[in-house]
Amino acid sequence: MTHLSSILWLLTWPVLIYVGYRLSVYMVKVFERNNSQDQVTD
Amino acid sequence: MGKMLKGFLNSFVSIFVSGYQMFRRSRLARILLIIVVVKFLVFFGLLKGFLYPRFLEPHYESEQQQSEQVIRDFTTTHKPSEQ
Amino acid sequence: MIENLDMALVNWSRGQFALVAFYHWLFIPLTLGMTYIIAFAQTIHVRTGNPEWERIAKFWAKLFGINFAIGVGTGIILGLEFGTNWSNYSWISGDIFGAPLAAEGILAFFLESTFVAVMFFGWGKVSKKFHLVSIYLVAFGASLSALWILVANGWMNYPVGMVFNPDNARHEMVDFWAVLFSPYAVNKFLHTITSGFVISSFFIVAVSAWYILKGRNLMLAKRSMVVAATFGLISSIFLATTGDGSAYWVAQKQPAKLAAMEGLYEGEEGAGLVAIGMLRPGKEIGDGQNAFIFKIEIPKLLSVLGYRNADAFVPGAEDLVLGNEAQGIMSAEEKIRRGRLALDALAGYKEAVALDDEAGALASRAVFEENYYYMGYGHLFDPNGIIPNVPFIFYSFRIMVMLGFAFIALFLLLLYLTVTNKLEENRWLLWVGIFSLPLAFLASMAGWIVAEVGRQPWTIQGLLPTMVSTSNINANAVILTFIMFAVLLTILVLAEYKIMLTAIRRGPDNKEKGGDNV
Repeated sequence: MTHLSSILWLLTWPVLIYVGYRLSVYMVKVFERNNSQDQVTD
Repeated sequence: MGKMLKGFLNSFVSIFVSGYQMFRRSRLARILLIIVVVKFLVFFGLLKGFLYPRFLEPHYESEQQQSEQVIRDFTTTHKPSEQ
Repeated sequence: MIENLDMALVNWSRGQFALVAFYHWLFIPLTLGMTYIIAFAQTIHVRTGNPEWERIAKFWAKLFGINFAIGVGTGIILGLEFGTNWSNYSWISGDIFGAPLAAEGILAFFLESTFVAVMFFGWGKVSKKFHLVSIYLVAFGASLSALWILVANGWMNYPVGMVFNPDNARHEMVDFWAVLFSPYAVNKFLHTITSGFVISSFFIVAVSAWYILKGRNLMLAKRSMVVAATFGLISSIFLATTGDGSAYWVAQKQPAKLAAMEGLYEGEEGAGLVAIGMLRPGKEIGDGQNAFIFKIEIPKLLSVLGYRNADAFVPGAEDLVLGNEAQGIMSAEEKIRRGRLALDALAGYKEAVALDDEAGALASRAVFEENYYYMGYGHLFDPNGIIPNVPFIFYSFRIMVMLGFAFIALFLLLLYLTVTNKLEENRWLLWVGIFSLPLAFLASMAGWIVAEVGRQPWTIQGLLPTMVSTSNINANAVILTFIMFAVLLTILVLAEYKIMLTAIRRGPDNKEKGGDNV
């Protein structure tokens, strides 16, 4: 497997997307908690 | 299997219907559709279909001729004697 | 044939390619990144059932749709240019360049366009899960198309996996996997798509910031801001990581580009990285002048970044041009001599084949193969020509890097203030958020300048200089099409600007008004 390091490096792309999603969900939770007194919709 | 196919076809049709309705209802969608159609007419029809092959692309009789031309370009550009 | 080496043709062809690529890149980043953010919002909706998130996804999908509809197809012009202005290049690159581009065409047209239709028209018409999968497929499909293009671009910077066939003057692919998984190409792909993610995040940040400043659609704007700032933050950190990867591969494979990026004329061991500096105008190779009027340097960092070794020798422009025996660097003059041997041997080989002189052909071919690696240098006349324009690359590189690091801090700040609900109190930051969008485009354009102007004089590193890549066509034809494309693409960009601003001003649809979602 001569290209293993390249393949692993390439796979960081879907990992980045997954981490992006999970972190977004977490940040949204924190945001909603801090906004609980405010409006929920426009 | 048949059920799945039916479901798939239903989705397919409903997406078409929904697209059609959107173009009828939304001015923005119509403007974008016109832009896409005009652009593709210009890019494919005018440029790729007419202007480039007729007037702009370099003409070679055959691949053989093109490869000879490329090799000629390649092997003579560096000769100052021919300047 | 030198009389045919028309510099007006070369320069206009370069100008035209730069023009079209510039316009093309105004549309692409948003296509690359926005889909993921839309997919995140829609995933939250599917998981929680909260209709607000679907409204958010729909609104950004509408803006995405405008950008997609106006931008789609601008890449076709670049394809046309390969066949005309750059036909020698296209011929010599052969199937190595053609195969990834064909793969891109198939992916872009079939995968993307099919699922884009589901994404735009499928709201409420197909099952939520299928619709969500379609959005992800559009997102990954867009990145995959970019992969093929950037594999082709990576190959031009670091050609691998091919052999040159002297019979027809084409490079033939012998190892597809080496081309696809070239570390240079993979890193370039990651660096480029993440730059698209950052620009897209800034697009959403800028529009949301404007809404918050206007006091409109506050919750939609803030929620969008949370997702965009989060995605932007991790993307910009990843962007810096891949930027480090780029610097490493440039150091390995394109030392002249690195020397220009750093304004490094005299190579040194344990070279420092110039954080801030001003180049001396008129500095020339070998004139003994200090290259900098002033500079602030981080010691040893360039050696670490380029070679993963604090004491490694980093060659400067003078080492590369004049040679440096102690470091085993061949002079440009010697490379040019060897390149000419290769080109003469190629001519000799063709002659011998034509005369059925088998022994002569074999002998010439042996000389050619021995010097093939320097083939491109044979076309150059001036050894100094192997160094690209130093100030242009040096300053572009600094603009990109400084903005890149500033973006990390900005995303962090935006995210912190949004989730703690303090964003509205910091109106200045909202303005910064708006202006960061053009700055993000500036940073990425600067990055393209470093990559593409920085690789001059080559189209294919070491093997084919730009001036021999053009076709035997009239420069006037290129000037004419340059003007045509400039007009055409400017109209498209103005249309995008106007339609986008109108859609942003109208904002998301009020539920009672009914849909206007593209």
